Amino acid sequence: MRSASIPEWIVGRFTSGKRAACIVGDLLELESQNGALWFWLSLAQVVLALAWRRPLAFVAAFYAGAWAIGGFQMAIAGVHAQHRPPEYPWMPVFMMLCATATILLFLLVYAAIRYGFRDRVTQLALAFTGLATAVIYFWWLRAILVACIALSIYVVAASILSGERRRAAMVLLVVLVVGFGGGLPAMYLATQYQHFVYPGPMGDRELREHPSVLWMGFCMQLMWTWMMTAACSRMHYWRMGNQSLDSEIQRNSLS
Amino acid sequence: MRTLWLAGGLSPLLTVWTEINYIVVVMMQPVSLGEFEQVVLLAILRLGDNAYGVTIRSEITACTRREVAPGALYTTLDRMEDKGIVRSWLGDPTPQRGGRAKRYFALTKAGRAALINAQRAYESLLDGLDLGGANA
Repeated sequence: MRSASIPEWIVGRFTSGKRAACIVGDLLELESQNGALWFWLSLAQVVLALAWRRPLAFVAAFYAGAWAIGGFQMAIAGVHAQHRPPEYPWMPVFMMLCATATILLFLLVYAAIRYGFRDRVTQLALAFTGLATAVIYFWWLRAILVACIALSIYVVAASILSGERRRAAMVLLVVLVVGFGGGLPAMYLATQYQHFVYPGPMGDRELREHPSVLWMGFCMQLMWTWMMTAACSRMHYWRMGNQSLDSEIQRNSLS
Repeated sequence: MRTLWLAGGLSPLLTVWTEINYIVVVMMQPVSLGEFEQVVLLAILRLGDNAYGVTIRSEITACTRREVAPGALYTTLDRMEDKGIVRSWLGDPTPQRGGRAKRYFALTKAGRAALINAQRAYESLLDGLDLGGANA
C-alpha cells in the first residue's frame, strides 16, 4: 500500500485535511479493484467537483470587467452627448462612477458564482451595482438621481448598523481600493506601451498591424482581475468565514 | 433635523425588518432535496451504521444501476452536511486505506423530515397515474 500523500495534499488544497484524508482513503480502498488509472481519474473528478466555481468565477468576472470597461464608458458618452452636462465637474465624476461601477459589476459576478446570492457581499455588490448603473444610464432624470443617492446612503447606513453587513462592506471596500490601486497602473502601463509601439490614435488597421497592443491590454486586464479576485477571496475568507460554495465551506466544517 | 432624526430612527427598523424577512423567507422554508440528494439519503438509510463513501457509492450502483462520480458524491455529502441534512463522524484508521479513517454518515432529524416530505411529494404526483407498470 502506497502512502498517497501527494493525492491527499492535492485534495487538501480544496477541502479540509480530514476530509481530504477520508476521500483519498475511499479511493485507495477501491484502487485494488479498479487500478491506478481509475484512482487518478477519480481524484481529478473530485478536485474538479470541489473547485470548479473558482476558475469559472474568474473567467466570468474577467469578461464582465472587460465588457463593463467599454460598456459603461459608451453609455456615459452617449448620454453625455445627448444631454450635455457641464464638462467640469461632471466628467471626472462620471469617469469615477464608470470605474466604480466596473469594479462593482466585476465583484458581483465573481461573488455570485463563488458564494451565491444569499451571501452578504454579493447582495451588497448587487445593490451598489444596480444603483451605479441606474445613475450612469439615467443621471439626467432628477428623480432617479435623488432616489439612487438616497438609497445608496440607506444601504451604507444599513451596512454600518449590522455586523455581518459591516464585514461585507469591508470586503467590498477593500476590493474597490485594490481595483482602483491595480486598475490605474494597469491602464497607465497599457497606454504607455501603446504609445511606445504606435504614437498616435489607433484604429482597426493599426491594431491589426500591432497585435501586441491588444495582448498587452489583455495581460493588464488579466493581472487586474487576478488582483481583485485574490483580494475578494482573501477578504471574504478572513471577514465572512466559511461561506464559499466550493472549498472554504468544507475547510471548516469537519473539525 | 427632523428628516435626519426620521432617517436615524427608520434605518435600524428597516434593518431589523430585513433580518426578519431573511429569516422567515430563507431560514424557515423547508429544506428541498434534489433527486440525487434523495438517492444518497436513501442509500445512507439502507446502509445504517456502515454508510461511508465507498459503501454509499456501491449501494447506489447496486440499487439504481447508475455509476456515481466520486466528485459528485463527496460534494453532495458535504453540501447536505452543511445544510444539516446529514451528520458525519470519523471511524478508526485502517491499513487497507493507507492508515486513513472512514467518514461515516447518518441522517439528522431534519434530513429524515426532508426525505419524507420529498417522497410524499412524489407519491402525491404519482397518485392516480398509470405509468404502464411492468409492460412499459
